[in-house]
Amino acid sequence: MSALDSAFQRLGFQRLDFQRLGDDLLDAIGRQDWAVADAELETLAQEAVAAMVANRRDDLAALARVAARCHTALSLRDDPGGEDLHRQGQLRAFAVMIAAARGRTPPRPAESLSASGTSAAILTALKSGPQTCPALVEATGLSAEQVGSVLPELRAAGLVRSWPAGRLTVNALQGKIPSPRGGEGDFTIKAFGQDDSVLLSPKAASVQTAPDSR
Amino acid sequence: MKNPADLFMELWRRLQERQDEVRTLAQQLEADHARAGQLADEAAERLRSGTSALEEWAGSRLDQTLAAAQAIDAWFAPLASRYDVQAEDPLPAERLEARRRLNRDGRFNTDPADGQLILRPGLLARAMNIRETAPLNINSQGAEPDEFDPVDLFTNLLVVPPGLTIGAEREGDPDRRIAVEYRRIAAVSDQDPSDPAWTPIVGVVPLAEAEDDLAIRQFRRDGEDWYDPTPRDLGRRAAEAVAGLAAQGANFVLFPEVSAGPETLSAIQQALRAQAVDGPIRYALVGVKEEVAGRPRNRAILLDRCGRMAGSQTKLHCWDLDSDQCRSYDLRDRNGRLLDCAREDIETGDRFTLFELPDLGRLAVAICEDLGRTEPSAWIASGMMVDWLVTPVMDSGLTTGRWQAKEGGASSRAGYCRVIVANSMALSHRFNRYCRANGEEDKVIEDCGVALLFQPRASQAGAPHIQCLTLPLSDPAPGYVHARWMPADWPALPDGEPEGPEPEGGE
Repeated sequence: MSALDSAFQRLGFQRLDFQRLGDDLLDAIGRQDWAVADAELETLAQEAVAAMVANRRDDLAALARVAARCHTALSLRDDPGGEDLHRQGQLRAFAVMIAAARGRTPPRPAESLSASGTSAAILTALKSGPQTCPALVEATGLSAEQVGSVLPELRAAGLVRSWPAGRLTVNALQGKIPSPRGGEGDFTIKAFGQDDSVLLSPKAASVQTAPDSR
Repeated sequence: MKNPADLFMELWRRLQERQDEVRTLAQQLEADHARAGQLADEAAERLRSGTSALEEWAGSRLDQTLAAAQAIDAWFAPLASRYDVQAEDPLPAERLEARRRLNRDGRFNTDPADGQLILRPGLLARAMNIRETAPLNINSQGAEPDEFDPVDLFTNLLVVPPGLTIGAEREGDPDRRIAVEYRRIAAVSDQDPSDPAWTPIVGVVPLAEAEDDLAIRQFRRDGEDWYDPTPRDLGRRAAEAVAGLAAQGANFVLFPEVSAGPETLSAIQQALRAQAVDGPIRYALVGVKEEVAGRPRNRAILLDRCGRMAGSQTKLHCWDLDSDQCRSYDLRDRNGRLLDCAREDIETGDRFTLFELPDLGRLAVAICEDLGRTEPSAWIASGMMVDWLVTPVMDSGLTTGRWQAKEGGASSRAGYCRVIVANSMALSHRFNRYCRANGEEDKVIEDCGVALLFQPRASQAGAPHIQCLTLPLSDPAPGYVHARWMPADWPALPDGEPEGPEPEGGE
């Protein structure tokens, strides 16, 4: 039993038995009970959409395994009929949809990213102004892998804006960064220090000071 | 209105034509982030109005041309990221069209004659684009000005050229052109390589364990000596190894260079099919010897979870043996005379393929000698475009001091792809015979290196990590090795040249 299963049991939940759903789907196709097969497929689709909406990654992974397993089993059948191929096609579409959902992760909320950990360390380091990635590694003491892992999420969350400088990438704070003490810090959008003539558009950001550090 | 990809291709051509000026401009911008920021902002503003506005703004000015190309590169960023971008999405219709083109045509651009404009990061790099964190040749000691590559001006996009000039097939021959192809394979998948927590298990089956498992036939033709490795039918052994690795949870299984003939390949396909529904193996790469139009070919065949052929790569360069190598591998003619040289009798390939695989990531295969060549191996590594560079070889035992370690280490240092070298064991017996005959007992191989796994470094300051997996030459049971990809547990590869003398049997 996996740690996750144990945790679910302690909480009084039973993990969803997608594997059995897949087995029953294959059984139904095997005995050419198309009404049941379609009902099982519909249940799988409903569960997949629910898992996507709630971003339940483990359930999406389990559903992906079920879809791939059933699709593989059907694809290995000798001389499949039209009805079999029809369900195989539906499983393929279903698997493609789940794979698309698994390949896209919503970033964590801004409050979570700015509260603690490597993301918070990078946001703190950027309060002193725009920095390249290697400079962030140096400023934070984090590894390049840690910085490289967090920056895409900070950008996706709208907390960091980046732009190219030759082969380098420069990063700056953007928008409203939740303060660890509650509320939001509205950062001054002033580029590169002193001269207003080099101000970027409002979307470009360089942070002078964070409100809660004044 | 041009689509963003086609405008990018046009701007890219202009930048390539003025590489020296572009290098100077890039260096200026690397030192002047304010100017770079202004240009980026202006270009992004124009792109919001459409590609026509951006093209007009770029005009003939080099700085604006570069900024315009980089703005398009940034526009593609959401497609190259694992994370959903919660920001405005300019040109949504063009974004839809870009997705359609990549899925349908395997490229964003319209004209295939220009090559294929693809996403630069492979699936493994969707959660962490290391290129921007550890940019090539910037601030690195000893970086040569010539090492400037315009490719490094872009984080999200990469132009795969339609062809590549590679080294001569044999010494003395002229360089030649090969076709280059990015092939996106669409298949039902259940593994998510872009998940940073994904730690696949890689298995290697040496297959040829005894000397006569891989016979080296010699013959004379046109006044020269040639060699022709011929694998024995080892189908049963191969099938047992596949089943054993499936039981160990292996996701990717590799067989070395020329380790399988048609019967063995068929047995491997059947074994994969047997585990396809509930087993963990998603791909196998099998080094095969086969005849095409009456000529031998040295190929690596990629099989999917069901044992179906998903692609192949033919060896691009011959490995001609010099007198030292002939001696080390005890290559003799029919009269028992040691050969002075022996040429590899194969028809080389004329195409190099980058495979995009849904359950694994982006894969390139460089068979043996191909790993050591600047093109295509170094091109792959420096472009940071593939997740996996796999090299099937036929050699004496692998060690961290052999040429494969040097080349693999260099590839993983220069770029950010994982490198795997898979070897058989047959030649180690020949090498040991040579060592014993020459009183070099200390060089005799007992534990034969059959797999080298490299994890690239994540920064200029870091080091690649390496795992060398061995089997005892005297008793190679169970006939395979495997390791979970957890490089934090592996030793670091020392910087620079691997230490220790290259055994004479090495290339």
